Amino acid sequence: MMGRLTPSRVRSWLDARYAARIELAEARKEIDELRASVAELQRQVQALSTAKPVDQEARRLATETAEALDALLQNEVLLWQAVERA
Amino acid sequence: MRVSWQSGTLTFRLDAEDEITGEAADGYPVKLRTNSCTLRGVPDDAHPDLFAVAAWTIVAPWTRRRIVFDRAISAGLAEALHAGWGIEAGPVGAETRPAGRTLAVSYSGGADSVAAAAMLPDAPFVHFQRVSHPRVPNRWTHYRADVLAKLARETGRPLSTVQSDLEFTLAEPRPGYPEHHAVAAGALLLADRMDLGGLAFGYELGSRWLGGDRYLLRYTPDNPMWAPHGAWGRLFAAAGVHIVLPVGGVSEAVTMRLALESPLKAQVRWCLRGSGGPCRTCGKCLYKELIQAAVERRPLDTPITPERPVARKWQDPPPYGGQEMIEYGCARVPGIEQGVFARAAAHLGATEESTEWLERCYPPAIEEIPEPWREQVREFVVANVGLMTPEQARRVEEWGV
Repeated sequence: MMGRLTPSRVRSWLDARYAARIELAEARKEIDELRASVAELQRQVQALSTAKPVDQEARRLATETAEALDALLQNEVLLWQAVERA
Repeated sequence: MRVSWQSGTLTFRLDAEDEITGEAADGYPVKLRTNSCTLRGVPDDAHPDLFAVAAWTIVAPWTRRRIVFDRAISAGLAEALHAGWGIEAGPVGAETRPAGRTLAVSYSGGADSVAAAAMLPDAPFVHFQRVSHPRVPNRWTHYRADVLAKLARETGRPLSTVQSDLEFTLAEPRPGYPEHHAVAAGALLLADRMDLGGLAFGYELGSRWLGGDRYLLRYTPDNPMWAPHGAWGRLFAAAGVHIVLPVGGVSEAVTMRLALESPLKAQVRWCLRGSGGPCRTCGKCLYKELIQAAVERRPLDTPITPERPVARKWQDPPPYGGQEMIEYGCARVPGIEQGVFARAAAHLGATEESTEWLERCYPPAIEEIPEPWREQVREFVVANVGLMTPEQARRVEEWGV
């Protein structure tokens, strides 16, 4: 019905407004989610310095990262050996 | 293996036949982590043989057939590498480095090197200080190299401290010297500047003659690490820096006594962990406490109980690394039947009489000290320790056989 009564110029203006409103709503939602995750990260960082189980988790991650780096350094030595053998 | 030095930074590349696993000269399996390290405060213009020996202390376990240095070495050094390890080394073209006149002490601050320092009151110190490696996260922050360096400064002796990250080239068993001799890498590079003809280490009777620590646990006249005619002894000599073991003929009971009687007593520290004093809880503190208690003839003073992991090995039967000192301690510490060493003491059944030989010096150890410093050491030993009788010397020669 509307399609027949409103000129096409007006219709596209209405469509654009409607789309903009949805975009705005989505952006707001995204910002809210981001704010929540930043708050959660801050909470975790604060917890890291006080709570023991989280501290151990950080220690585990740090140890595993360093061990992975050891393997990477050894691989580098072996790769240079392979490069120069070729 | 190809090695190159840029100022104090060593970089090495493996040849096709080289491997990142190997063995140190004492047979202990080791694994490489990374292929560069730095020694700070060393000159650029040391004799090429000094650069070569310093590099060899770091790359020997990984090298299988040949090594190419970035500067020509002397024919004598190439021959020593070939005779000792079967390694082809080059390029050859430098003059031999003549031995200098000075003897320095490779000073760690532990009882053994303090005892060596007491015998050589005029000798300058070279101290190796571990620092972090730029590519390796330091997970071993309990190791307080800074504390040991500070104590070395407080001795008041002429001191060169060489900071290095070379221990981090080793991945397994943990950061440490790829070869025991790597502690001397900095002293080697300083040898021309200091006019060094010898470097004195604190290796004592157990390490030199009884195959102690992680080595063979038997009489080792041909010890490849510390005998003058062994592979390492000949290599250092070829570079004009003789390996000198002033306390090579005496046990850790004697080095402990000499250290505690020495003017450097306040700076003695064998513990690598404590900051304000020894930690008292590590395995090394426990071992040295046994020796100190025996020397001072008092009961053991330790918070360590038999259930603790550091005490576990003493609950098992022998052999132990440094067993002669466990026997010595168990024979002399009052109340040893209780506590950490009770089981070891029961297994060993040592007596004061059976361990008396550990209070005297094994005479051949003095004979192998290079001539310029031999009489000085002999005089000190005769005056302060005394020589083993032939019967006591036989205890050394029958050790572990």
